[in-house]
Amino acid sequence: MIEIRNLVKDYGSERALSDVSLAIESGGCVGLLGPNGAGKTTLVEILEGLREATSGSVRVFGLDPALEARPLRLRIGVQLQATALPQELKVSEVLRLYAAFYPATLEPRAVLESVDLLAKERALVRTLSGGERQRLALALALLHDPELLLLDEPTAALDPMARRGVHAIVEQLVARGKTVLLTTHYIEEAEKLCRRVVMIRRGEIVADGSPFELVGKAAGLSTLWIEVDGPFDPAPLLAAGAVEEGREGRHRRFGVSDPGAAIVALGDLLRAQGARLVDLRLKRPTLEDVYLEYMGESDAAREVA
Amino acid sequence: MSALGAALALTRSYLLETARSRTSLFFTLAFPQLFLFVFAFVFAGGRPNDVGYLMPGLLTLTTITSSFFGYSMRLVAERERGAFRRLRVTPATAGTVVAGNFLHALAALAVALAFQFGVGWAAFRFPVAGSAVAVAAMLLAGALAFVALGLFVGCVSRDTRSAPALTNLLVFPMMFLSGSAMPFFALPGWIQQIGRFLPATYLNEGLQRAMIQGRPLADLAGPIAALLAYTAVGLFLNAQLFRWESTDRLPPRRLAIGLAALALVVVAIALAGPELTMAKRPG
Repeated sequence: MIEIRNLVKDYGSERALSDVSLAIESGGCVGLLGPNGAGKTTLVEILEGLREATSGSVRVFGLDPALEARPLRLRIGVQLQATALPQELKVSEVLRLYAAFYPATLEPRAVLESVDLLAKERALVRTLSGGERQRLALALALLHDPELLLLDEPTAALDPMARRGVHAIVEQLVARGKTVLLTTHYIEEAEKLCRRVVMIRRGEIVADGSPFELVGKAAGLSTLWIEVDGPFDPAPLLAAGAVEEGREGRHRRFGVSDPGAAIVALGDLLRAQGARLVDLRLKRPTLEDVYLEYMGESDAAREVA
Repeated sequence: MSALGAALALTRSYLLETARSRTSLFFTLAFPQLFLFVFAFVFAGGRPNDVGYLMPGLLTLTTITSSFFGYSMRLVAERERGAFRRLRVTPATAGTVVAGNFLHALAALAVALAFQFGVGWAAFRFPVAGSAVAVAAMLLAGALAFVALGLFVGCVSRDTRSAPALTNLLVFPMMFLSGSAMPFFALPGWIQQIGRFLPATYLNEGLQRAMIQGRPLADLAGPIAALLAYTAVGLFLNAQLFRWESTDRLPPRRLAIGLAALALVVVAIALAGPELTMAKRPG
């Protein structure tokens, strides 16, 4: 559905995207995750034909967005990072306007219903809340029932409730067989919605896979807490690669790189030493840990600066 | 839907927005009347005959200011706030957006002119020598030309901060050298020659022929042709220079071609355009 090869985009002397290659199959939600300025929006806007690539090839439905924008725009639904809506129009009037640009559309009221905005049909756009505006922007993207949706930070600047509303809409779209490409800098959003997460840092793809796979590939340590009743010498556990990090109440805390091996070693040593395991807790690295690992400390430091 | 349907949908939406915006309504309907009453009382003492002499100039002024300040600035503001950017990711073409803006401005200006004419007539009962058809045709030709030229100025203006500079540069000579804000016959001969290079001069001339001299429609062919030529070059400039986003650069080649075409039309009309009957003191 989307085929990107060796894509480079320069703004003057600034390189926004360097040698990005990415293929996206139809179906499901794919998340572009990265900090502000990573190149997510640039990438999406090249797919929409709003910006031209410096070099490389881009195809969406086999069409070149720079040269075949019109047929492409019949088939994609776009939510820009900031949508400038006509403030003095009613919600229904905005839909009516945008419907005029397409040869065929869904029933506007059904579209409003699907984004939970039917109650605001007669309201002026300028009276809508931030969340309602975002949902109206989504409705405009859905109006012509496109196969592919490109959503640029659809939940940025929304409160948690409004964000959840947008999530429900995306989940519904995926359930209806649409393909959604969304950019976000919310890790939990990518984890919740996306079958595949592509992490971008300074114009380069640094990680790509399902959230489950990415967490599995994480180099970071898992944390193991154990509470033991009776004599206990952790030496065999340490020999299995665990690092004792300290105590929390009656729990001893270990950093482990291979939790499976650590737990097997723990079982053996408990049996050998005749101690009883009162409690065990294990925390695996999260997608957030993976994200921070790939984004590197230099970027984190830059954001603070 | 067809390209025309899309343009009309855009026109309809813009008109709804204008009708619901107090600022737009004020500048469309109320503001021109400020000029009307000031001119009518200060320069014409409220006398119907004298107000009648002022009306062509006033209607020309309203046409100039609405087009160059109102619709031109609106285009720049819409582009700047990203409204065209959202339209760009639909199948709508640049032609659709230009046409939508053009038709909206034309309709709004028609309302503004009709309103000013009506208010002026209701307040002062000024005499109109020519036929309603002749006056309406002249006003329409002026509206077409000025809306097209005003939107062209919007196309080349960079942003809402720099647009007024260019607009003022064009509007002030037009107000004073075309016989709109002061009588043309009172201007020195060499300034009258400069006036021949301004589109407002032909609107003012045509309106004077229709409203004061009472000439039939056939005698307006010269001024109407001049204004239609301005309309054509204005629309051509819009088609060449329309930008979807403030960050888009003006294409230098198209700008050069467009300005050359404009210069050609301006000079051709100045040299071969209609005689300016308003250069002689009436009566």
